Amino acid sequence: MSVRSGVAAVAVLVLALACSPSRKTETNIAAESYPRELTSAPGKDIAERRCLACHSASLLTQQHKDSTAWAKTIAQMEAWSASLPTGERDSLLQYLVASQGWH
Amino acid sequence: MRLTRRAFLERAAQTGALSLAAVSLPAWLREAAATQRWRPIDVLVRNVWPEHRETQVGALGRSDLTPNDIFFVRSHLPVPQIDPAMHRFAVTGDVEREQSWSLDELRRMRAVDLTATLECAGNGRGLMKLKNTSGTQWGYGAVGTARWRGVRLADLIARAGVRSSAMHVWFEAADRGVHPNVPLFLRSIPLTVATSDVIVAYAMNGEPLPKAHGGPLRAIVPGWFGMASTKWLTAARLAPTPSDGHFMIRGYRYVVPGGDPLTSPPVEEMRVKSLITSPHGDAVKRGRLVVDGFAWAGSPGVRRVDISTDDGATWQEASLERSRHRWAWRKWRARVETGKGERLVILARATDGAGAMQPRVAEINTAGYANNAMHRVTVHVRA
Repeated sequence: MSVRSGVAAVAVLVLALACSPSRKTETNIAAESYPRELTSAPGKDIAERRCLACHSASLLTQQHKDSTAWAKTIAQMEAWSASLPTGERDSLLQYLVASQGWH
Repeated sequence: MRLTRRAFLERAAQTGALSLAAVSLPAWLREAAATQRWRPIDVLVRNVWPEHRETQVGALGRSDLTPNDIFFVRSHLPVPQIDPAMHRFAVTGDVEREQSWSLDELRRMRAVDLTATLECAGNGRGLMKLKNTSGTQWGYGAVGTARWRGVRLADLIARAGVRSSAMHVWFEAADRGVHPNVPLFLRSIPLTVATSDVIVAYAMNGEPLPKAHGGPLRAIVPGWFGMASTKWLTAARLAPTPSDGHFMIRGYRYVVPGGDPLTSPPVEEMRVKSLITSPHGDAVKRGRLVVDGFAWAGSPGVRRVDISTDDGATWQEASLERSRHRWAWRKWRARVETGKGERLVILARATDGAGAMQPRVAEINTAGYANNAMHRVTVHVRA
């Protein structure tokens, strides 16, 4: 980086700061802990359609389970909403194990 | 105007100026802008919707009472929209005469200020690193203390008149799952607990109870884990038997691997626990180090707090502030001498009034509840 562009960059900053309204940094900072989008993998569209009506993707992206446990979770979620067609259930299980498996 | 480097960066972040100049900035400025390292976060969003928010330990340590906007949030179901002007609270079931009141009527009754600590039953679950567990992977910060204002539930029950058949109080609430098959968050507490220090709260730290925290009305069951303090309260129903809802008979049970929640003991009172709020960075200066924190417990209260700086080989008693509020955490402080180049592994261990002590390692249960293992912080001593 040349000295001239460095000086220009700092000048832009200083100018922007000089124009900004002065305010105390009161805002509490929040940061998200987990991806807010589902992982891309085959079957993701089923998860989006079936799972995100009741809770955001981060509830899935923070959990890591094996196949048996994910199958149990899917069964519980079906009991609390509606049964999935068998083909969809299988694809969803595959997706969850692939994207949110226990390693 | 003289600005410290830190203040300069904070102002730059606020104005968005950094995004303008980012590409041509020197490396130190680019990196600091990207990581915001000079400003630690206060709240970790564990789930976007329904909201799960965890307060960071450094933020908890700033004040005895946890401000409303950083107090941890955990909701099983979406926040219901309630019109406070139309909202009523009722006492029903095994009573002489069912009663109900508007918010205004409740506010005109004898008010009680209850300063109490609430901790999520799942606080610390993430640290247990359990396989296959559902539930939010909380760290240390699903806990907070507030001054709750409301009416004693005992007073409201007395107005209705208890029948001798009543043994339990079910807390009915306004929240609902998106789908009609989702079970209600319907739990109960024993009548003996309900008529002790429980309040029906409409204010939190001097403000009307925020929506995320159960506004306009919630139960506060001090000394119990947070799930007992039902949010968006609509009624207290007296009954001879406890709730048979999912979040009572399957949820909130201490289940051993292979066990059945239906026959497992229920999660109720908080376990004795402590938090080291300072130091929370990686490096400290040589010399006298002040170690600060909070300690809390269920009904036995906190008897003492001890700290160790050699990972538990030796212990010294911390000075514990006198108990100002029966159900609120207490501050403690210890002073240790440190030498240059030392690596300190600090442990805090609270003991409650019944002699129960925090364990070194969490007691395993499949749903990851009530992790009250000692808090461990590692610091390096520099010159």
